[in-house]
Amino acid sequence: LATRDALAKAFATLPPEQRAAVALHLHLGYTVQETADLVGVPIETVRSRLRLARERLRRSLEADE
Amino acid sequence: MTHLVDDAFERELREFLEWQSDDRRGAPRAADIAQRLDVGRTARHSGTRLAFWVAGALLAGVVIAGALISGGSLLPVQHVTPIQSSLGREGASPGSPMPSASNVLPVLALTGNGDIYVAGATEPNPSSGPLRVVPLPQAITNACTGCAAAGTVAWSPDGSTLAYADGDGQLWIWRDGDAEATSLIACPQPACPVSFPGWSADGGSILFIGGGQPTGGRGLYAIDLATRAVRSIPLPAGAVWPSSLSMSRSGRIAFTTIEPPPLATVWVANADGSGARSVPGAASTRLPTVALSPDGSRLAIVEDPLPANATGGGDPYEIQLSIIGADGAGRRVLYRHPGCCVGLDGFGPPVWSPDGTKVAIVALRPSSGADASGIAVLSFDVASGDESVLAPAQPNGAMPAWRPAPTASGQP
Repeated sequence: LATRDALAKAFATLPPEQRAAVALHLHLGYTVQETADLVGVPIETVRSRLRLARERLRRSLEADE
Repeated sequence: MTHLVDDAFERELREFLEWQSDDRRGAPRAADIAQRLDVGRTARHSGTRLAFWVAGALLAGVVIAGALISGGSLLPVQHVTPIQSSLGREGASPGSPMPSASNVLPVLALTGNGDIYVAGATEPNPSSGPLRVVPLPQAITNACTGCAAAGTVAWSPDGSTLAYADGDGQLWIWRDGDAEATSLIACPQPACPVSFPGWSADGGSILFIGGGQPTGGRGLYAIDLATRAVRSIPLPAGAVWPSSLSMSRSGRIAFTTIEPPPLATVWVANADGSGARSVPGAASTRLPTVALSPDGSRLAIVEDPLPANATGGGDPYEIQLSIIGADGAGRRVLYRHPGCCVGLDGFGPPVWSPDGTKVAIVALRPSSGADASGIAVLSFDVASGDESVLAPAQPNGAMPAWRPAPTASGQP
């Protein structure tokens, strides 16, 4: 599993909109629909941002290993 | 649905976020959030209130980002590839005419996985069991080439035309029997992205939530179907960031706005935005979706009754449907289900039956577990609370739209 420092570094590299989607949905517990309402984008956009954030974090962590 | 909760990596990420929050290492800066929300532009309308809300969000540790779609002007009306179509006929396949056999009498339109479906009873036995669900041709559902999936849908008052917002926030209408869908709002433009379309009582315009991009403020808008002119509908003084909208045949509308904590306020107003008043007792710490009854006297509200972080983030969550008078009196709960739901993204908007006796939502059957197999379009009798399965729901389905019953002449 990734270390916290590595995650912090990878998380910081995410585009702001992906960081916000991850924080609102995963951390603060808003549903995907609520996250979409909060940032003012369609729900498909939030799904896409969450998916891209996950892929980007995985790639960043794998590159660090 | 993004199945984040079952993934070890995302659990690790969530733990990291908790740790980061505890250490305040990731505390968002107000300037960042203001920039992401494009407060400078929105402030032309209601900057003080928005700044107040941003401050409230900061206190809660919320990180907000706005979409960054570039601006432009209203594009010409677009037409898609003509097809032969007739609403609700079974056997539809992408790009091909629908077979004329086994007609379905449409009662609902609903979305799922980005496609649009209609649900109806099959002749000649229209009253037994759940409605049968059939897809609209993809040439209609995905009318815009390469755009994302369909989101929210709404029937016109005469039941002849379906309005829908696609996943890119563009607005379309499709008239039953027409060979093509028509683009009303193509993005980017200031009123994008569109969500929660709803028809005016006379069918002459469509109201919606839009904006929020660098080119315009998030707000309520209306597009005149004859002229294609888009106008802004004023929000109540101090209110910003609408997040749910419902029309009624009475000419009144209901909507929610995101405010400083407790977060959401429910409003009832005239369709032009005048006469707005908040509904006492309907404020929420979550972001409810609302529907105003056809006569404008009652509200159906769907929300999570738990605090946002009660489940530690992500899924699962709870879903609750309640009915409350438009004056805030007599709130009662019709449905609550714990542990929602893989296969649902949130609490989809409720919808009233045209006669105002029932409310439908996409949710889990009361007896089911938290898995996608239990998701259905549930109908609740408002007087008795009796629940029934109206139709099977599609994965990631959100908003059913109840079709007004046409008369023998084809008009309501």
